[in-house]
Amino acid sequence: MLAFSEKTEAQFQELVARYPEDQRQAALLPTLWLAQEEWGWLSPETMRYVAQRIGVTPAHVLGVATFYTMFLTEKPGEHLLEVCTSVSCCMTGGRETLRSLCDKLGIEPGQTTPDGKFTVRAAECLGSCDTSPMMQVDNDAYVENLNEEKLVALISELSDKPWGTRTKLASFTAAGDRRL
Amino acid sequence: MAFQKVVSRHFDVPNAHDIAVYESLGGYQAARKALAMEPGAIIEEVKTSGLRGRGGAGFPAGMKWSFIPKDSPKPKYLVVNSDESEPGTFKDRKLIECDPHSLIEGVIISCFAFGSHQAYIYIRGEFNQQRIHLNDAIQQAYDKGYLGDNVFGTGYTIHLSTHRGAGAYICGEETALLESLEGKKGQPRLKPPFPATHGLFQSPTVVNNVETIATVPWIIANGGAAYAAMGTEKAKGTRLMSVSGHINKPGVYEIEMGMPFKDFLAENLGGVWKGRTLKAVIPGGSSCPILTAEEAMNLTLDPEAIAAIGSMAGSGGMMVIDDQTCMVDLLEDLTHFYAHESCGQCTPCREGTDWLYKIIRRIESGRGTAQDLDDILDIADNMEGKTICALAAAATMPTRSYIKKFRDEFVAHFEHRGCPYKQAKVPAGAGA
Repeated sequence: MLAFSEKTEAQFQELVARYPEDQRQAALLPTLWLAQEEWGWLSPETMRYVAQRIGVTPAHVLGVATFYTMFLTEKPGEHLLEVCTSVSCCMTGGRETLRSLCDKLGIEPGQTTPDGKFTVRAAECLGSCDTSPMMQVDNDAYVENLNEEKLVALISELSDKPWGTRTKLASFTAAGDRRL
Repeated sequence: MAFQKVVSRHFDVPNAHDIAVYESLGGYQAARKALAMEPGAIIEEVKTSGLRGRGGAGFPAGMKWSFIPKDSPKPKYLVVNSDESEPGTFKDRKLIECDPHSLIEGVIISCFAFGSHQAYIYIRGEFNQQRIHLNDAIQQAYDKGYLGDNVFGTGYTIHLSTHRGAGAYICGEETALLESLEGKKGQPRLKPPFPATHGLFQSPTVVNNVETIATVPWIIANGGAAYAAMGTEKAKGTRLMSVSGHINKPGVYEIEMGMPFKDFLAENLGGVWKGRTLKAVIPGGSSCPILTAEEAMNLTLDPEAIAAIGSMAGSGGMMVIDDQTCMVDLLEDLTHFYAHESCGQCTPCREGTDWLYKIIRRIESGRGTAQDLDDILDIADNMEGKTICALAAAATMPTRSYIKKFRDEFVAHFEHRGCPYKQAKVPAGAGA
């Protein structure tokens, strides 16, 4: 039987308290996020566990989880690389960047490398149109103003990092033009 | 009154996201002032300012607040829409990164104005770093007693938390956002009833954009009349523009309503990149009908002027397009977006957006015929006004405009049996 770690359980209790007592279902999306960060993806077992914790049916959780693109209901590689290809990025090299990234990893968009290290996907607009081409790494950091050098550096940097590494990426902070 | 920066006034101040720096700039004085006012007077001040919603629809903010029933026994909610997903739009992201306390201060004033004690900021899942950054600012405000059960020692309660989305454009539509916040699929609701009476948890709810709420503190501090003194007669004040595409200086700019596009392009954006010529402009996000270079160069940037030539000011997400861009390729990318993001609830949208994409993909790849253009317009007829929300129209309106204004490019694809421009190496949305 699954159970949240002590730390995640504390976060779960804190977030449930944000919503009215009779509206516990409102905590579903944030709880799915907790589960995904704990176990890396949302397996059927994980979704059943979340359903039980929130008090909704597993079918409802499955419906919600598959509606949103960031919830991973199939096991991805250790690192998820999502290159934006929407309008602005499409005009300024997003697709070429996606192609180049795939070529470097020897896969096609939507696939995972045979060693299970990287999954590459095209993403719809990530709200970083002024710093295109860009990608999001592991549903978290943005790597912006991409070029060939940065792609190579990013792949090399991530190759050494196991799943769940939350340290800031050197290539992200090097982007520099965001005050974060 | 001469133009001055309102929402972007702290963008260039280092560490304005820190509450100490924000307060040294006069931050949270407007909230203190507001909590000593009659709530009705705050709403009047915002009405006087003429502030309209900055998320896309442009509904007057003060009027929206006044729709909240005063005598309802139910709790009232403020929900800030930070789902910012319209392609070309990234202004709210910049605002949260540079000046999160102006948003929090706006939340405090707005909640007090219409009697709410609970606010949520629904932030798109991709903006994870921004959410963490905003959470830090919210915690600072709690620690100071500016949020919580005794706001500024007045005994008034306001609780605020962020709520992370998970990747769905449709959740920018206010009722889809509310569904998502309630832990469901983000599928828009039929209106009426409107959120003002039946919003979050079926309670009275105001849904406002980040920029709208972040403008409120300035209005309270300086007066609605000072805000209304800027802009045009109908479009008051200033707004943020996120500008991207083929320009030298992409980024977020605050402009006075009614600024000529020509000046904006030359003075702020540094002109079209690589010394190329302007071909077209998307004025306010990907859903807005496209403008030719000539239309754009004669345009002033205010909602009325943009509507007069058949487009929309939208979310201020402007995209500038140079003369080496294939408009069919661009439309293929755009329709792929809407096909991917349709929530699937209404058949005309679910099927229609997919057909638009497939047919335009066929034209771009050189296998289209003249009949395709008639089919596209016929499909558009069968989508518009036949769905619960505006996503279907958000796909058909630009599609119509591309065909109307750049028809010769579509014809060139039929004649060349392919794209006369450099073929993109990867089709739109491969592997999405």
